Amino acid sequence: MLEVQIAGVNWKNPVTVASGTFSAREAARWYDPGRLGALTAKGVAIEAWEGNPTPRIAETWGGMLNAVGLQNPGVDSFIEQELPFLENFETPVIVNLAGHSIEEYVAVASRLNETAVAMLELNISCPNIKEGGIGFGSDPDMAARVTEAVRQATQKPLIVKLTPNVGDIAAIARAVENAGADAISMINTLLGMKIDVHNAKPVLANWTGGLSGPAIKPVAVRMVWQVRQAVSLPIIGMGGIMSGEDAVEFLMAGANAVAVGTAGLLDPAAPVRILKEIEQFMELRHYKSVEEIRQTGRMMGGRTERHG
Amino acid sequence: MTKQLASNPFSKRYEIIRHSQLTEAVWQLVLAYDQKAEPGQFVNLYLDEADLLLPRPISVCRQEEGKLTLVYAIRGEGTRRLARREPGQALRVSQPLGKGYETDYLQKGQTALLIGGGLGIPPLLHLAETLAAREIGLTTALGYRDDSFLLEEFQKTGAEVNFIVEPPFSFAERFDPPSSATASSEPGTDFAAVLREMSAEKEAPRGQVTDLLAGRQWEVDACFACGPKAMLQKVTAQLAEMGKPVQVSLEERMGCGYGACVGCVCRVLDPKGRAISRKVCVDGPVFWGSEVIWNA
Ligand SMILES: Cc1cc2nc3c(=O)[nH]c(=O)nc-3n(C[C@H](O)[C@H](O)[C@H](O)COP(=O)(O)OP(=O)(O)OC[C@H]3O[C@@H](n4cnc5c(N)ncnc54)[C@H](O)[C@@H]3O)c2cc1C
Ligand SMILES: Cc1cc2nc3c(=O)[nH]c(=O)nc-3n(C[C@H](O)[C@H](O)[C@H](O)COP(=O)(O)O)c2cc1C
Ligand code: FES
Repeated sequence: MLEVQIAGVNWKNPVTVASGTFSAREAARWYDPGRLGALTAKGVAIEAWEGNPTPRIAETWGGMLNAVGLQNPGVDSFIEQELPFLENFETPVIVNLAGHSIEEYVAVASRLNETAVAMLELNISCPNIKEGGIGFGSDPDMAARVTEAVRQATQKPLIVKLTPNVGDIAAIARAVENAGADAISMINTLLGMKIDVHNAKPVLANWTGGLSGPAIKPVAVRMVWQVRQAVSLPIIGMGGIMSGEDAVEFLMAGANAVAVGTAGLLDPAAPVRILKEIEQFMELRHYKSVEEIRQTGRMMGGRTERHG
Repeated sequence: MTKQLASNPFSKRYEIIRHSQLTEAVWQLVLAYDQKAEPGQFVNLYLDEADLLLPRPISVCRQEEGKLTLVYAIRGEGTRRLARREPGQALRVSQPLGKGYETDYLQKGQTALLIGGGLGIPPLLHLAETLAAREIGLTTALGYRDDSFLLEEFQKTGAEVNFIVEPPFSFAERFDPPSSATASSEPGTDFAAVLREMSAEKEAPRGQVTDLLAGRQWEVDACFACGPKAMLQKVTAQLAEMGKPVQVSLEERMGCGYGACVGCVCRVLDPKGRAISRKVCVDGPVFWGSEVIWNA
């Protein structure tokens, strides 16, 4: 009853983890990662990235800011050191791609063609990298160009991850759909900032960072709903999911699956707890499939774009 | 693959047995806790309030049968609200986290020097009690900001306890009248009383822990330090001059405390001398002072 199919890949249930918030090696100390619908690795680039200086983490009301800056060991080291471990579990592996330029994204995607990775997730949305990231994700033409280039470089199902830091998210979603994306994941973090007023300086060394956690959930649900009106691609919804009911909210907004991020930082076993809570909700409300929850969401009514 | 799942969940709610104030800003929290922590490890405390979701990492100060003692200072909103939690209430606490001090190489009869500054002192008590049980001789060099705490407990381990209290220069900062115009009308501060209090304490030597260290040649087999980063850097340099390596415990802001978020990194030198990133929460918090790149 929990199975879903995302861009032709079978997931045993609709719950994965959000990129950058999960380490299989660590998670495997508390639960079997094979229980999840898919495992999403953190962002990987063609070369190693050092990331930002510390402090990289700040606490905010109902969430947190991070400015990790996509620290990663580079795709070769990832394939050698981390991928074999991720592939130990009986569940599809999604690799999240980071890059400063179209060429870099294409290079990582090509390199991963030689592996058994099930899906690629193109991160055009990380707010921390000045040259790339936010530039690609906030402009429909740029988003389409990078999607198209990576599409041509790989046969693997391609998920494009959208940033919420845009005016018209539906326009970006349509652009990547037309450019050949197989699925959309959303949302990445909202750009934020925190100032330590006693020392009169920003808390993060990078000044700004990405906001995640329950504080962003209403924004994420609204955006998933908007994108669902705009495209027919499968959507992996995320942003502040802390419980099974939060996850169901995304499904009703039109998502086909969900990802758990910050909740897993606060308790590594959160993704499996949330999965169990979705099951309990389905029993309670007599849903026979995840698809049925989504259909119920569609019957909420045909409200067209209005505000307030 | 074979799965070896931890028998304990990552975190659980544990009952507060005792919660008392040691000094004006420093509190001691005793929890009913059944997991074993190595010296230098820490636990995450979760306030689980909507505005305080992130973990508060606090070092293990003491471990007795079924009991865990933490000593913490009130620094911000989280520790301020923590101090209001009462015995009988439960608090969500993680399992022991991180890599503590390496002590296996020490033999019975050898000696260790424990160097602590401020809230770096509590974890050294767990280390002292553990080493004392193995009949390793102990000397301490402890530096306090103002009021001392845990001295009696260190003494009970049989350690030679050396400590020092920062000179009251902060006196000037704290009590300096803002301007002569307001000074005379400023009520409240009884300068004479403050001075009397200071002289009553005067048996405590004044200075910083680095002054204590500089004062003598330390004949010890191992050195362990915990405290503010600037102090650890100086201590590492001082001991290096005496030909003594030291293990230091670092602090960094943490998003998870168990290795997932890559928020808590520090830079260290690998065995080949290349600069690499390490996670303070799982690769540390304890590192060899000589491997840390201090001004990264
Ligand atoms: C491994 C480790 C062991 C520690 N052991 C002790 C101890 O035994 N006793 C003690 O008094 N303090 C200890 N600290 C520091 C302690 O974690 C902070 O003082 C505490 O988190 C402050 O929380 P707050 O809500 O009062 O402050 P706020 O400034 O309101 O906290 C906001 C956020 O910043 C984080 N933060 C603030 N200061 C620090 C800091 N110095 N280090 C890490 N995170 C911080 C908090 O965890 C929280 O997520 C330790 C820190 C680390 C990393
Ligand atoms: C510490 C941290 C690191 C992250 N790293 C990445 C990353 O490498 N790639 C990416 O696409 N998203 C990254 N994200 C964003 C998350 O995958 C997710 O989109 C976002 O946090 C919202 O979900 P949440 O509120 O459940 O955390 C990161 C988030 C956090 C908190
Ligand atoms: S605090 Fe998350 S990796 Fe160390």
